[in-house]
Amino acid sequence: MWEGLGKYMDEAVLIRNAKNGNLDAFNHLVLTYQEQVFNLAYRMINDDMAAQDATQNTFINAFQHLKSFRGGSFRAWVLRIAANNSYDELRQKKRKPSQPLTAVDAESGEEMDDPIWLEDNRNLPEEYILKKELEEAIQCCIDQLPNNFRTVIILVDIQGFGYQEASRIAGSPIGTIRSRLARARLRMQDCLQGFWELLPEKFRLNPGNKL
Amino acid sequence: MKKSKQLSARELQLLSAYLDSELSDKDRKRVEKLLSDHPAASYSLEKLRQVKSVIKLLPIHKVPRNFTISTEEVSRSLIPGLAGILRYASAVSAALLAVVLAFDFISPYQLAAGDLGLARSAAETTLKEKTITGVEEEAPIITWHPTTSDAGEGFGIEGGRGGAGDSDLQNEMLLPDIIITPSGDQTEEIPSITQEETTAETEQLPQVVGEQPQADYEKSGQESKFAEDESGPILGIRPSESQGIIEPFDEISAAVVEAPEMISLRLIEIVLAGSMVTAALFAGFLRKCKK
Repeated sequence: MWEGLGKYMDEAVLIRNAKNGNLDAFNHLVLTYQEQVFNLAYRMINDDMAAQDATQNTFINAFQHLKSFRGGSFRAWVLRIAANNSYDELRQKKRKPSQPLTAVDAESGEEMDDPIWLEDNRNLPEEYILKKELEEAIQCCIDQLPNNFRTVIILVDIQGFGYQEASRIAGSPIGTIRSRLARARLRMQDCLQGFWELLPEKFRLNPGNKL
Repeated sequence: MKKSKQLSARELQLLSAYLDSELSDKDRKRVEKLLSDHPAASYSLEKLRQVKSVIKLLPIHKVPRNFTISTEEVSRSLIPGLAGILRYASAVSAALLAVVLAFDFISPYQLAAGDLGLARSAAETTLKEKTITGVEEEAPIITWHPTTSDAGEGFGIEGGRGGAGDSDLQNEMLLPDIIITPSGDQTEEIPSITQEETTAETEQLPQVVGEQPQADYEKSGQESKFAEDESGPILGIRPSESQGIIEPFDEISAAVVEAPEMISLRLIEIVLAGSMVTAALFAGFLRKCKK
């Protein structure tokens, strides 16, 4: 308990110093929250580079607008900026969809297969491969959710926030969070039915009965 | 225990929140009752629990690098903000320019129409004032007496007799620039006499015009009665303050009056176009700098 209290007191001091323009103090806060910010952005955008951009912009924006932070949960405040930056990145991605660079065979002039499909997985353990495929399947289902549903399910089910903090981050009332989460879970349930064979045995309700 | 039941959206919400232990005591009891009464509710809860467990399988990624910031990054990050502001400024300038151009396009017609309307109403007002107080002030009323070939068709106070019986006055009459009929519906412009001619004949005018109305009034009775019965047209009144001379009013003079407004409009247009182009150029430049 005292450890936690000390942490918050430290955080308050760091925020106060950062508000006075101390960049080192702010960077201490960055190191504390960068993983949560990056994971929120990564799950929202599903693009490593774009998530890195969103994370970097989040901390720059946070430092520039630190004066507007009026206390409360600094984590919720930063994650809210991260969610907004992720929305911006998603919008940008939608406006300018990036084309993957495909190698062209010099002789035939035909497009060559993407290197990712040429990856040799023979030496990788099967468990790892299944885990990777499952992760891709879940992420694919998350990508199909509307942005506000996506934020809530990432915050509550992946990052483990309570409804109260999720409502602060998303900037919506708790009732809305509850409703969005239930609907997001139902949509995820429908989507995951397409990948039920990838799911581990313990996550299947009945054998032969899809999720 | 009841048989299968379709759960409502509200019940599914409660089940989802029950899973996260985010319900009030009242709602929790309600859900527990629902679970004991309806197997469908238990089944849905189990499915929701599975979904939650599956989503939880997603790993938390390690950060690929540290996101600590430097002073350079903070100052560089101001550029996109400035570029954004400039972009908006450019857009606002363009919108304002469009509005001003539209106004510029419409206004000449409106101004011209407005000036003509003003001229007409001013003449009507003068006519009414003079007809009321004309006897006391001896306001000169112009009547129509065509005497020359270029006078065109005319009709006078004597109901179209024109100048047929006034041969001694015919050479001294001036053609009015604006003819106003008693109804006020028609305003015609007749090619006016040049300024020199007008000035030359000015001295004779008050006498000539001053006598004629008296005679006319005597013939037709009361002046106001004449104005009301609309039996004969009144051509116009020479304001006494301008010594009986009616200044020519036409669209050219209206255009001269509105010229300063047009100049200021042009100035606004140039400023807006300039600011639009400058803001857009700077925004583009800053964007390039960022890249």
